[in-house]
Amino acid sequence: MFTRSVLILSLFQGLTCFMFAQQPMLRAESGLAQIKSEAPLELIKAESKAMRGLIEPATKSFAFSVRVNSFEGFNSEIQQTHFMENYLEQKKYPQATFKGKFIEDIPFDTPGTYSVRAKGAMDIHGIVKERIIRGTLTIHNGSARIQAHFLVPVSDHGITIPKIVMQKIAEEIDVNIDMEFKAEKAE
Amino acid sequence: MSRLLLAITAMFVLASGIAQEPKFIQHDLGDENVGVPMHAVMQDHQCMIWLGTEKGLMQYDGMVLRSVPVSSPDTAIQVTALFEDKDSRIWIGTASGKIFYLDKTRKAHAFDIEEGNPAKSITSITQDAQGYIWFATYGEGVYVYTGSRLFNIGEDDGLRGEDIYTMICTPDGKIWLGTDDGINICTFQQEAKRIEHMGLKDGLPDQIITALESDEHGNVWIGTFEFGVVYYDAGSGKISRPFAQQQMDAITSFTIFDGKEVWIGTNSSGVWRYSEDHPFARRFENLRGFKFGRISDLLSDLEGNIWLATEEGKLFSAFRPFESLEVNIPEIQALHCDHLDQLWIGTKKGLYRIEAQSLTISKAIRVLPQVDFNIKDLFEDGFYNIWIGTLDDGLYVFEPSTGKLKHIGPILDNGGITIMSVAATKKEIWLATLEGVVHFPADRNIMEENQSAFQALRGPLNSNLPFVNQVFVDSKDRPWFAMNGEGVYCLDGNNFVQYKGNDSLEIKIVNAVCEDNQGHYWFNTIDFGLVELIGTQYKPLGIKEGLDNMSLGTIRMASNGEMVILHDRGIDLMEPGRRHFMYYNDEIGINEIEAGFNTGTNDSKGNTYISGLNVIFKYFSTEHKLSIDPRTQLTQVTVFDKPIDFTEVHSFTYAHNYISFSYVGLWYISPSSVKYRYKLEGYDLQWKESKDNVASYSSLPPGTYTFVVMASENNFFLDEPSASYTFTIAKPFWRQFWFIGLLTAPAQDIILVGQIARKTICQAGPAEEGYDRIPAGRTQGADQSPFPVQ
Repeated sequence: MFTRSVLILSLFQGLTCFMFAQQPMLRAESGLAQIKSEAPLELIKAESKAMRGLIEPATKSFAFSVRVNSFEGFNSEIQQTHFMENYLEQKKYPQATFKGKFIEDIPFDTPGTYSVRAKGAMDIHGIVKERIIRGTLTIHNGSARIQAHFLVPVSDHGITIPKIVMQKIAEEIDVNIDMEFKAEKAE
Repeated sequence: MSRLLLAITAMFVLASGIAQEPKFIQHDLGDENVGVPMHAVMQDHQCMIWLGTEKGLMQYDGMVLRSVPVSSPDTAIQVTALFEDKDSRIWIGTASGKIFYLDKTRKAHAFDIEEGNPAKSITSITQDAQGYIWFATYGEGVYVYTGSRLFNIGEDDGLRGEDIYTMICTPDGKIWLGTDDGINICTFQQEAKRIEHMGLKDGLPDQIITALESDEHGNVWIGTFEFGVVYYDAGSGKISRPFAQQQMDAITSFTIFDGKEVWIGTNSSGVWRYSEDHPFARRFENLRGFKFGRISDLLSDLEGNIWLATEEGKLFSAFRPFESLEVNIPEIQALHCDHLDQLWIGTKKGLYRIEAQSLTISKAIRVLPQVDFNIKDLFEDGFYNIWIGTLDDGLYVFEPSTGKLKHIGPILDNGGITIMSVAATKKEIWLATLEGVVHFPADRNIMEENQSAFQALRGPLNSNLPFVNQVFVDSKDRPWFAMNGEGVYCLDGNNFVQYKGNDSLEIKIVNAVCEDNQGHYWFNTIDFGLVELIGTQYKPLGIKEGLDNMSLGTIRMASNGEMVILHDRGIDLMEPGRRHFMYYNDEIGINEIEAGFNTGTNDSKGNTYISGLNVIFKYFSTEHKLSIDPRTQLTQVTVFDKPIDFTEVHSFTYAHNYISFSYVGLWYISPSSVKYRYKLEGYDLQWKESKDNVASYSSLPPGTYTFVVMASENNFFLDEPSASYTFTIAKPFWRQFWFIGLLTAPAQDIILVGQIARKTICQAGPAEEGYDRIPAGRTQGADQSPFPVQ
């Protein structure tokens, strides 16, 4: 009886390991990132459709990145240049990244909508801050969609806004993320 | 003196609009420390406050913030965690993972251990029942130091996450760790690591646990990242939500005041407090006007101050036992706490009740707005009716449950429209009017009775006992009548006993009576201040004995045995047994008030309310004894202006006889009011008093001395704690026996010794090192002194 129980348990453990090992990585190549600065004197909006991401379900790890110069919109070309060159210094810091782990255990193999928190290191303008960001994860048919909304205080990332334009640029940038992840095909 | 003024001006009042809250003070930490993030605040066993900051370790005495180097000056350290262990060592955790400690003499050491220091930031340090020191890290789990070895407990050992936000040791010796995946409860015995897990399944509303605090019974307050505060009951093992989350964001820290009031620091939604007195947590409104960001740490100190350290580098404190509430209502003339501990306010024009709020200041709500009572006293009977004694319209009785108001009017056949005071013994309710005292059976509901049930008291000399300022009922259920001219009468059974002093102390006008825990009675008199009645003996307590003001408005006993005394210059607390006074004015928000006359009441928990014309003070009667004297400690001893290690050096050569002592009396409630008394035993004949915290002695002759210093916050030096330092100054060699012996030797020897002596004199000098190192507590007698050390 004992031997049988041990055998069943071992089989179950083996199966679980096999299932985890089989859980493919999830990848996104063209996620949407929208930023909005709502200051008393000006509203600035921009978006990028080049946000990339990778999720490893087995370890709950994730990594997202976006090229700073992929953002388009703004109210004028000169404003865009100013934003990219003077505030975000995109030549020096071309990427904004966020990598870490999900807090919650997520059943990636079960379709549904889950409220999850991603904890990790957010690197913008070369300055890394730890953030915990809540978002919604929707899983269906082997794909996953992540939507999140959060604020990024510019001072957290060493971005100094000159006093003269303080009324035109918000102290906190409103960020919206919408990314569709597809399971990587096994090679 | 200038430093004193600087310190006084350095503290500023936070807000003018006062909620029913203690007064917060923001401490001026010096220009060089503006904006320096603070991560930890701790008080050691000698009461010193220590701060862990981005610029290193700091020591704060209430006036001056001093940097305490723990490593080489060119190595900047960010102190993230502080802890004092049972051996009085202060452990210092840093952002880099490096650990230091100060030994009990406060000398700094690096924590050098074979296993090496952690490589991640230290978030918390604690000690378990075995004396092991635990270091929580943000990224490497937790480390345990057994005294000889350092062990790591991480995910490999079963820990759920290695980012530890917070760590506590509960009274049963277990270590609780707050992680991204709930709570881990660890023990480490005989090198065996044991970990239990508490998570969502156990009732936690959030996996991310950011703050923990245990009370003395092992119950644990749990702070979460998104779901506010929950409470673990050690008795039932259950987790519950003690109050609705309200508007708190991530919880960063807790502290518990007097074992029952929990203070809650948050990431960006301010500071809150919760006790069972209210069904909700209350946010401190007076702090809201200040942008202070994240609360990094909270501390409840031994004097009753609560400290708030912030990430933006601001340090606040508040003397918790006093709260004040400014109310925009007519002149307050009476206060009364009902059986539900609701505070009723009688004013010159109307009745009010205080309503506590969660997110705004407490409010005074007008009750019965249709009647402009001129209220002199308030009282609640056994049927929960509120008796409203007026100055010009006799008695009203209000039944709050129905809203019914009954106007009794005058309660004497010829007069009784001015009701000065109401109080009750078990059988009777006593009402003092200008024309005499009236009583009413306590077991009858006045709402169902008519006026005929009132009976005039037949006082001594067949009078009705007119002009009573106050009726007081003592612990023996006897009514006392404080008279406006004849001292005090006590009705003991059917006998009146008059207390009007003695030949040398003739008491006439008495405003109020109260009774202390020893059964002594205290009279608030016009002529002698307070007078204590012990049996048949009278002991006055006036200005000379420590009373701050002879004109007292209200006296009241709090349940902790202290007398609360309100006068126009502030509030005094007096400990009757020691006759020890503590004075409070600016530090609790009083600049100048018009003290109410006998406007005091106690709630069911023994807290005391007293009032000025438009301000109400609450004195929180603590169950735990608070420190009532400044704690004095020596901070430095110098010889010819050169600091010495006074924990070890106790012996000096005859040439090192210019000695200075620096000391501090730690009294954070009001550091500027501290005064010192010191004496160099063996030299000074009398005590010296000074506000200065340095004493110097020059040209001290050889001998053994003890420098003793004590501090007082109230100018009275009774049995205040003291600090002392004993040392010896050796005799010069020519007065030592061996030298004298040599002088009697043959002449050639004398010449030889003379040559040696000349050489010695040439080498000796006041700037030289010249201290013997002998263990602390042992002094070396001059007679046994060897050669002076060169």
